[in-house]
Amino acid sequence: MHKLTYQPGASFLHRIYPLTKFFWLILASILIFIINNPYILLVTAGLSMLILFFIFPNVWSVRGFRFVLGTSFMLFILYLLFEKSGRMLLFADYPLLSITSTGLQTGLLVSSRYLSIILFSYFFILTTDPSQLAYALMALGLPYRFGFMLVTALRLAPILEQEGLTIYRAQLVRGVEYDHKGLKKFFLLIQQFLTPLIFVALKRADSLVFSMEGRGFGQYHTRSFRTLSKPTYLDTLMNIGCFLYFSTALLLNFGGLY
Amino acid sequence: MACIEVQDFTYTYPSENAPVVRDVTLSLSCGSFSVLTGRSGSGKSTLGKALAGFLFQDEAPNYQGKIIVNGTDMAAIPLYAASERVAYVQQNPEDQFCTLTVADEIAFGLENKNIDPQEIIRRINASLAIVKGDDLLERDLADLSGGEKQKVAIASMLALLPDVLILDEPTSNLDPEATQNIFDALRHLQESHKMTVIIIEHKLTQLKDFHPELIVLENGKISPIDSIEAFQAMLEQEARELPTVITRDSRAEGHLIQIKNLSVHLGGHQILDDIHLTLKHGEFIAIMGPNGSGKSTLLQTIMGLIKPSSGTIRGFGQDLSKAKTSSLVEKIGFVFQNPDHQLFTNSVYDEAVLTLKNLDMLTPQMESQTRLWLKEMHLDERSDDHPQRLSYGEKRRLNLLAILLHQPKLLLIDEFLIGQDRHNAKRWMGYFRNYADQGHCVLLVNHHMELTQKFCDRIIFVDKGKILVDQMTEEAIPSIVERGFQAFVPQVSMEALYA
Repeated sequence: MHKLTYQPGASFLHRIYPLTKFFWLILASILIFIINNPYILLVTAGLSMLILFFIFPNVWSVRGFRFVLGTSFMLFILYLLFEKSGRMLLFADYPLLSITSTGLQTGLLVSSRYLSIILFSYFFILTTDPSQLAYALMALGLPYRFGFMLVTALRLAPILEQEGLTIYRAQLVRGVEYDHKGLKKFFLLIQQFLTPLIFVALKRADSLVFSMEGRGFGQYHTRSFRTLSKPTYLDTLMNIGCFLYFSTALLLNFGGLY
Repeated sequence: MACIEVQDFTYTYPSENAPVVRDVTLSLSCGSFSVLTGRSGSGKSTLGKALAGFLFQDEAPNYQGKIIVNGTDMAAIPLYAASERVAYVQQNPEDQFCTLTVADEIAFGLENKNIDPQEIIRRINASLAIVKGDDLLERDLADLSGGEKQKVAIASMLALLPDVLILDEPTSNLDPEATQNIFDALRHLQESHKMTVIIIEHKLTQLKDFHPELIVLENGKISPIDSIEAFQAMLEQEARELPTVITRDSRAEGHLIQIKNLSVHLGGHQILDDIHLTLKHGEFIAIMGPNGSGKSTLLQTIMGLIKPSSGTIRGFGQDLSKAKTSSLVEKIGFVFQNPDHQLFTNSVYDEAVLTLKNLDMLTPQMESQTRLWLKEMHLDERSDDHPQRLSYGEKRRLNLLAILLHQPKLLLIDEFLIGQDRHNAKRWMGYFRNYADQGHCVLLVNHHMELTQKFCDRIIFVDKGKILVDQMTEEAIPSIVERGFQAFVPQVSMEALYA
């Protein structure tokens, strides 16, 4: 199982400027809520799924992906079975299993909308180096102190995750059993887990402060950047493609496509 | 010309009563190469941090005296200005890194100082060349080995063109081969740039060729010893005063653990490959090998913390690879590398008895025995203190006490001697030897060949997940050399071996 995190690669989406992707993630998520035609949303979710499989054939092994698909499917089934208004489509003689046009359309609308938004997020997370996003935001005017909050958090998160695992294992070798002895004991164990974790995290933060300030962090209001990625013709292509797709979707949506 | 002048410098940490560094006066000339050494807890790192200006950033730092670097009083300037004069490389490079890639890390300080991008790129390349790390430029920090990380940490400081470079035990977490690489890089730095370098280090034998100025700290004060030879002679004299240990051939003793065809995969990588191993009662065994060779994984797999992909671990009448860790605690004691990861309670006494409590073995008799052991380990006066307030050495003693009280048959100990001076290291090896002599088995991950040679029955040498050597100590040393791991066998051992 892979974590849901940036996966290095050279696909079209990998080469897009981080802020372009970020802009379209936000805008597309808003548009997905404005569009209320279930068939357009179904096509959007289906296309997104195809692109995702094309870029990451092993996306099945990304943690949480199967759960997302399962949840989407369950949403569809629930609306299909419990929304009974509208024209009867199937199983009219079996009230519990009967399927109506409203049930079908609402099921498609909710599950496709849910799936589309999640898949857009997958595109962004899997193809965007978070530190590049931070550097791009800083170049755009975000104060570098805030930008480096993101960079150092990205740096420390896996280290603290590993330290948390070591502390958990160190507890096990001292005879700790998490699955026994009631709620009070459980909270005591959590406290005993957090004590060393917080201690090592603070110690690291302290060292990091010296390391950063010791190299001039905060000395000036601005800083230079060794390299900064910039939008290219690929970003123009993506902007045109996304603009055309969502304009068409909106036109069809408000033009009435049933 | 003096580059560094320290005048009657005394420093006390906030919330401490006694000074850590006392009345230190010294003068170091520009371009000199100095080694700052002394016992664990003698104040070396504190003096190093003071020279770098780190200790003067508190609102009311408690110090007397002066530290002048190239005419500047280090207490009178902010940290970023201090860093333009003195660069300080921390013991653990992981603590120092604040970005994700090698190039970003070295560029970090330069970008903060608004250096032109072209000049930044030039300095990144130049500083990597100095530490012989040109091939690291395109790499992610997370993918580097310990030695490579240390090179990047040094390069990131060199890029700022400081007058003085201080390195705080840069090789303490490295295997002998990586240690030699770092020392080679420092030699290159000294020869090509004549920079003033101060290295805080215990490994003096490998630094002899640098002909350094030696500064020895003893209880926070400068010792009159001024040569590596004299300092080592003093340590040898102290070491001779410790009880002599004769290693025994324990092959006749019964089996404790038997490992067959053991393989471990983690994150898609093979970490251990077809391990066959037998541990016997009464043995004190050293596990050696390069960083990342699978030593710690082997220990954790025996303890049931990592499940093997294949193979069996038989011991105590069961298959340990299928057993829950909690069911093995009574028979196997485990000490991790970092003491901070294994202190859980609010007092030293509670920490010492935590394992006994979890095993339902805390009887009044064990309680009084715990008090005796706390006294034996010089922790009795701190038994009500929070464990995280102890010194590094005290934490290590408490880690060990916490798993020893119920006398497990097998001790698994990961890199216990890191950061310990030779005297302390020898004392700990004596403890482990005695524990094994009582019929227990001790398995210690260790890089210290001289002490291994003196105390251990057997050496298991691991490389790339495979056991390359598993022999009695005296037979193992030439085998390790034959397989091309000369750096793991210091000259002194070889001389003794072939004398």
